[in-house]
Amino acid sequence: MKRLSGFALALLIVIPLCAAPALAAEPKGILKKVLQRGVLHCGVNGKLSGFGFLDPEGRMTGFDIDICRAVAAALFDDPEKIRYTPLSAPQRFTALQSGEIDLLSRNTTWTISRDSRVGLDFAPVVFYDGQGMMVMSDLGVARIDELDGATICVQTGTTTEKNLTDYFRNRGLSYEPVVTQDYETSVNAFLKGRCDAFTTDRSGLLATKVKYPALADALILDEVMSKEPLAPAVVQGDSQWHDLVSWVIYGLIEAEELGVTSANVAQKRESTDLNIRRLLGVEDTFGEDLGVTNDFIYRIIRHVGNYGEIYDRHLGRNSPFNLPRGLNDLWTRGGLMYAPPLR
Amino acid sequence: MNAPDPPLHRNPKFLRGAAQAVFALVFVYLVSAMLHNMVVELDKRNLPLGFDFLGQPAGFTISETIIPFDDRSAYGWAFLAGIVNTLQVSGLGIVLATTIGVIVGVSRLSKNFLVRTLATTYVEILRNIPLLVQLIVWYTVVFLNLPPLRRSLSLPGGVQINNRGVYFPWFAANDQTRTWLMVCAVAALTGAVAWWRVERRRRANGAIRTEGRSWAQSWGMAAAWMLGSVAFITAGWALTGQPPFGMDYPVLKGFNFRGGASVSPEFAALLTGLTLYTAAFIAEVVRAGIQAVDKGQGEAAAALGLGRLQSLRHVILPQAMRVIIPPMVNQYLNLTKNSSLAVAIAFPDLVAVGNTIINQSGNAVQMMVLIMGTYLVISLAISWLMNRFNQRFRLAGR
Repeated sequence: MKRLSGFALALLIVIPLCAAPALAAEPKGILKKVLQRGVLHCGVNGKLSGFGFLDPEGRMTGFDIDICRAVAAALFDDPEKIRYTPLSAPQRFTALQSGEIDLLSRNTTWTISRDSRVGLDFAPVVFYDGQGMMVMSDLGVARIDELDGATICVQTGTTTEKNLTDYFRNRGLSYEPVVTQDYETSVNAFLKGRCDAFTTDRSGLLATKVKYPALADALILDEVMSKEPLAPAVVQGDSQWHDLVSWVIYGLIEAEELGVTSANVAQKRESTDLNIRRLLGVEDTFGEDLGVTNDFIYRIIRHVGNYGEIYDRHLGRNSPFNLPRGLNDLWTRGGLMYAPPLR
Repeated sequence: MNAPDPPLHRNPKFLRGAAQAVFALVFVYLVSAMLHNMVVELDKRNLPLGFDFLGQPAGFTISETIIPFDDRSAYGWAFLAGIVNTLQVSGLGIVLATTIGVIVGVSRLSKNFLVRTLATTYVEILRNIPLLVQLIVWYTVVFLNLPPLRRSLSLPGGVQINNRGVYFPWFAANDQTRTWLMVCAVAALTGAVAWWRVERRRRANGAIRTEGRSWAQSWGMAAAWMLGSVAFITAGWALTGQPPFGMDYPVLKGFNFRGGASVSPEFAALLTGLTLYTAAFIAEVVRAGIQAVDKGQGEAAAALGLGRLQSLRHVILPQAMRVIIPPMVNQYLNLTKNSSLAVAIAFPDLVAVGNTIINQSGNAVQMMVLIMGTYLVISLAISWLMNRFNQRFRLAGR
């Protein structure tokens, strides 16, 4: 008995000592950690049609999800090696800061305060959006200016919340906010008539309108209230990981520009075009320099497709939204999607 | 003759001391390791660990506040608005839950079958459904399903009920109000001085401080006071030809009702949910307290010729209170802490506002510390108050 308690005492002392290095040790960098773990931890929306939601078969799907899948494909040659964490707007940054997720791909607007004070690093913009306002058509409102004194449903912890405040203040208008923690409470309050208007990114409004039959004759007002460049984010201070995520996205854009699709990527590998050969890792060692294999973009395109394919699949012509490319088209066609050269 | 001291490894005194010392060391080590880890990690991410951000403008709005707030106010002020909202809903909740709880608790011991069964059903249902579920039901099923704004339910007296809230007429100042308030203040002051002098004389004549007045005396005084005030106001009204204050009625203007006062569905749902849930527990506490008093006490009171109410007031309740108060403190603390479930139904309590601040400013650690600290202070304050109350009761009861 005495020996046992001595043993317990020893354990009590030794366990914290063993735990100490684990507590205080420097992580070797997120990329190494993820490769070692074999699974990418991705923070997503989970409830927003088109961007990140569960399909009828119970799989995560959407535009933001495919960004996660592209990163997983680059790392593991397998887009399924992901653990998704559905996050509400107020949870998302803490999840990233605390290391619960490696990558946040959840319709998040890139702003200076998030880049600095909140401690994030943003990958390139994947979707150029703007804030909009939705009302029921029987309200008889056609412009935001006519909403003076209205009650407006908005989610907390979003840029939307602050833009709304600024927009109304700048125009000398007043409003009564109903601030909810999550998207569904907000939509529900709007559907029940608790609010006169519902505001979020315009893509989100459209997705909501398509998802809820009761909103069939809701009206998305024409004004664009703000710039909402949506971008994936990683935690600040790990430039190797940030570089990799960035180049996964550039790779998607560049592949579209060079006409490389999931259908033709295998034969494009045999191409003599030096740009394509470098993109797909046949020449040079860009992949290894980033810390992954040289053919990482080949893997991405094979499993997930290029930027245009992802867009069309979830938001564009192959989706219920049929959203025109607009600003999200390639720079060669008048949009803003532009990748720096791979060389 | 003393036995020789046992060797150290068999000396229970030493072993006990050593175990405690080791435990303390391990504890201190773990805590400091965690703090160190936090500081290092925050530093690595270039996240500041100060509270300076509380002075910066919030830039967001809060749906309802008691203290004046707009988007130019500071983060710290926003948090304070959240604290006040929490205090408001908890304070009201505690009063209402106690009232309902006592009624239901006494009803559970009623000799009337219907009353007893209803009270039991209430307790068993409300107590056994998680509060979060109840809150969501109150909000989305009850309050959001009230008639919409344009088909608002009009009650007599100018009360409007719809899913934007309950709107009712409220006092509004007119040009007489200031004079009236001043007159009232003087009257109250005079009354207080008079009361104090009467009390002093009473005590000088040998009355003990804790000795209560009889009910007849108390009720008599209350009635006299009421009659006096009514007469006073009527006289003043007749004299000046104007009531002491106007009434402001809610009117549908533009997108919402304006004027009067209103309660939002979020607040109403939270208050209703918290009150009814906690009242079920309080009812059990009250029932247990009454049942804990020995049966013989009531019989003895009856033998002395005390009526049922007299026996309840002078014999049963003072003894029951000693059993009731400590668990009651627990229920008050639970209610206050449960009010943090407000985040689920869009009421801006201190957790909801704190979450928003975390998200807009990125200072998660500081805000979590502030939120926890605030709850700790509120809870300790309630405990302290109730402990004082409890002590007084002990003295008075024995």
